[in-house]
Amino acid sequence: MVFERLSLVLLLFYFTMLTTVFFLIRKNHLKTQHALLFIILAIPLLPLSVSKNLQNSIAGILGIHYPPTAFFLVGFAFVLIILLYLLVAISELSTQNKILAREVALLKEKIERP
Amino acid sequence: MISEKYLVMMPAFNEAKSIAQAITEVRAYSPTIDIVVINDGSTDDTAAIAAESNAAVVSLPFNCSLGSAEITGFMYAAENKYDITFRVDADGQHIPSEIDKLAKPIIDKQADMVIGSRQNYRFPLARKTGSLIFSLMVRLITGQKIPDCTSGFRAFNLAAVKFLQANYADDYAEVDSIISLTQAGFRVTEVPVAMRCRSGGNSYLSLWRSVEYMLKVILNILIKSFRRK
Repeated sequence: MVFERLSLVLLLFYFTMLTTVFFLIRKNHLKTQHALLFIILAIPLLPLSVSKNLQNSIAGILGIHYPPTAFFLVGFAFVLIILLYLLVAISELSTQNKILAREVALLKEKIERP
Repeated sequence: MISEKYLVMMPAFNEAKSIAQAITEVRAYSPTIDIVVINDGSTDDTAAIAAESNAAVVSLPFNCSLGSAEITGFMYAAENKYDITFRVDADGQHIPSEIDKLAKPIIDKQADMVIGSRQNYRFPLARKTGSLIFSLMVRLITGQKIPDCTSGFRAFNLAAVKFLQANYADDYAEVDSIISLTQAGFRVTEVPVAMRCRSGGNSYLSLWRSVEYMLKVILNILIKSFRRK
């Protein structure tokens, strides 16, 4: 019974997150480019959150005693992948930002030079 | 003797207390030398004081990092085709009369970058240890013996400046630049110079920053050592 209730909670959370992502894209608060990885990684989590057999199989392969933990393990791995993706995106933005800052500073000096 | 083709670049972040004195000292040493202050988003009057002291001022719109300020200086020097660019601290540690010593190996075509190594300077033990580790790593990777590879008092010829404007680490680039230049075939050398303690402001190296500096530089060096030469 506890197992089914957990699946239901995971399913609810899953669809809430996906709906939020789609809503954010629609409102232009999130770029499709960044949301794509999130959506792709979320696909395998759906069967994992509802299928006992799948959880049992993965838990068996990984030697996990409590099968729902397999869901969290896979979810955690996905979160780490998304985190790394975001860190790369932030690093690129930071680099581009500083390049722009340098160009602006040099142009401003040139314009204001007596 | 300094000519018009020489540039002193001073990266500065909140150095209002010392920048005027630093510029005056350079001017006293050579009235004709060009000076550019790279104001790295200072929140005090650094930019205004530098401009009043008749230095060119390039102001970054926000605090980018020391490395970024230095890249801006290299871009300025490359665009204006300075024969030799001297990187001098804005806090008064570097003595302008020592510039000749830095310039000589470049004028004699013996080096592309010259590092002024601190001779009469008392380092805290932690920094001395860090410097020793960096020197050993630089020696292992490049074969170059540079005891004071964290010194910021440096001179560059135009070729080195052009290379560094596109190949300079965004932060903590002192050690990194020695390896980059050496691996790219540039000649790096060191000359002993006298140096003073800071005359104002705060060093950007706080305790946490020192640890960050060590870790980041070591990581950069290790990554570079695995790159193809």
